[in-house]
Amino acid sequence: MKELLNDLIVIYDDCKSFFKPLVLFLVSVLAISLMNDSENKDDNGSRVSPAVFVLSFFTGIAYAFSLAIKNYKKDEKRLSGILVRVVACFLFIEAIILSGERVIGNDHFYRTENALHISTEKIALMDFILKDSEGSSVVRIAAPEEIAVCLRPYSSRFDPVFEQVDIDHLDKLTKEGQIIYEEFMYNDPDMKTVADAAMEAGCTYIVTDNEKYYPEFKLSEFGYELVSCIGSLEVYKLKGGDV
Amino acid sequence: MIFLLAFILFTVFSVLSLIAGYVIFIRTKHMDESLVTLYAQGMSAIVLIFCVLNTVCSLLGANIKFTGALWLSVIFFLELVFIFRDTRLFPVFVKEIKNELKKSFEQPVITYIFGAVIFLLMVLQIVFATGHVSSSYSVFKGVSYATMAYENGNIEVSHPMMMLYAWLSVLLRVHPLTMIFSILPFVMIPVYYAFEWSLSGKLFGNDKNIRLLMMLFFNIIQIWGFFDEKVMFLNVIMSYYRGSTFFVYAILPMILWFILDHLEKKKEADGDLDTETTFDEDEEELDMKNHRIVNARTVGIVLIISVILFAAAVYILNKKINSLYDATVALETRMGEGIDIKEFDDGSNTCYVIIKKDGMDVYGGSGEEKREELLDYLKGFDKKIDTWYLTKGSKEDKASYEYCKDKGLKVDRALYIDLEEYTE
Repeated sequence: MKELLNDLIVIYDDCKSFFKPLVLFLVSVLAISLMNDSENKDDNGSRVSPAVFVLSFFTGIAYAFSLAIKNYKKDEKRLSGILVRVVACFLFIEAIILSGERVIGNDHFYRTENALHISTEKIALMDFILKDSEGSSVVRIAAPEEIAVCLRPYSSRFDPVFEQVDIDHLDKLTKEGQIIYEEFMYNDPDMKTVADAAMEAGCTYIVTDNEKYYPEFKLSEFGYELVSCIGSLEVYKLKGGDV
Repeated sequence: MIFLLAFILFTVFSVLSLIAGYVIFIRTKHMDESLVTLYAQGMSAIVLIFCVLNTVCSLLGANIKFTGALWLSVIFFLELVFIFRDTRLFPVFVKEIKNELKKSFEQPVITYIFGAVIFLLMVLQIVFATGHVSSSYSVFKGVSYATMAYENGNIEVSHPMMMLYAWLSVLLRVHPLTMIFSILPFVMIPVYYAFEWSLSGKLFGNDKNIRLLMMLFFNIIQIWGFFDEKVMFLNVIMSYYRGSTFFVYAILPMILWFILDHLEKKKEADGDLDTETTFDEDEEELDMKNHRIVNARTVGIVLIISVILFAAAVYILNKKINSLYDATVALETRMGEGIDIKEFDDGSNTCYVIIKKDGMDVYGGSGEEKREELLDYLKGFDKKIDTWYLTKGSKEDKASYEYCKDKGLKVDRALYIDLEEYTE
């Protein structure tokens, strides 16, 4: 029973963010439906079936709230009536705010350094690797996730061992990709394991971050040599060039 | 420079969208729609045209430059043809627009202030999206297809929006990342808001204040609209460039708009609403008969044909992908079949046989009592021996080789392998 309860809590945690807008929408649909029913039968000009808003959830929500404000004490012209409407408006805004998280802010965004929306350090790193590997059509590379996600959007010549990783579906990665990803999750990755897996995956380059990782032994002891250091990012290249 | 490019792109897209919107609405007899509605519907139409052309061109193996050029040509051609087909409708349209603009200037001051606030909120979102990077890695999802198309010219059928951005990048000579993250907010975000404004008009008529209130709620939903990574495409500020966002905030609202319009027309037909028509009904009927105005049935037939063509294109593409997959699997199987390694173990020595397509290689040998057995084993493969590798210093290997050769086994050459341990 306890396990079932725990499972239910996990499912709830997984789904609650997803269901927030859905609940808001269902409430809005119900509100539209009730308002349509309570309207004067002769005045059916503004009636819209709430079912059509399945096509556009947020239009439905915005419409429901606006309609509620419009219909609430619509014959009231006094200041008290206007105030009640303003309060209702704030309550609706509060409902929307509580249903989601603020997008504009530091939680989900940070200021860009350039028009490419990738940090200048990473651009310098990618430019270095592209220049260093001139002549080869594809550059196989192992890098931590935050760098790996920028590689292919920057140049199609990059072929990272993994990019954005879904932690629940690590099995989608190659065997080498899984090994490297798991090692890069620690602050002290076993660089021998990383180097062996990278060689197995055919990587000519490995990128690490010396501000994030503090390995016991550097990659230079396991078949790779340090070719560049850009800010905190280190570029290691396979000794002797290609795999 | 980026802002200049963004402004130019916004202007060009707006002009193309407005003309496309005008064409759509004169063909579907919506002469009294606002400029914002024309812009929104026109934008959807031209992007959809690109998506269809992208599918067709990718099947034909065309590159991104050709697809983009074809798209522009088709838009220009269609817009010009439809505009000049019924030039007499243009003055009516201009008159309607003038009336609408005149009406919009007759609003109370509070409405202007409210409108300015809503507009500023939208501009704030655009500026924010341009100047900030999302900390989620998902923002780069799919962008690599645009980069690939930009660098190699190859188009990808499954990501038409990214192909459009790639082509625009080629045209303006900017990196697709710059195009998507710094220029596109100016082009895409206004379209989604235009759709909402257009829908608010259908829902609330000419009551500008309540329409603005609806826009305010929509703005708030976007600003406080982060729910989960999985539904990130539901947020305009975070995902304005995605195909799924375009579908949710442009295609579906467009369908909703036409449904609402249909319901409104139905009510009018039932006599519930008193409306004025801008068309002379008899003249309209005559035009219909002469096929000068596209009626709903024609539009329906064209849509069905488009859907069938699209389905056929997807079917052909699937077939191609499947055959390519089968070919790859067959190739892998053949490659797997090409080389096989067998092992002959007599208890103390191991002899390895590498069987290739046209012959085989042998490594090592066997003890004296098993040599006859080894000979039979090697003869059993019925292939000539290209190379027999003998370990230097191994008497067993040398004796096995000489025995087999003396017994008539054909060996092209024998090589010694010097197994010496490497020391630094």
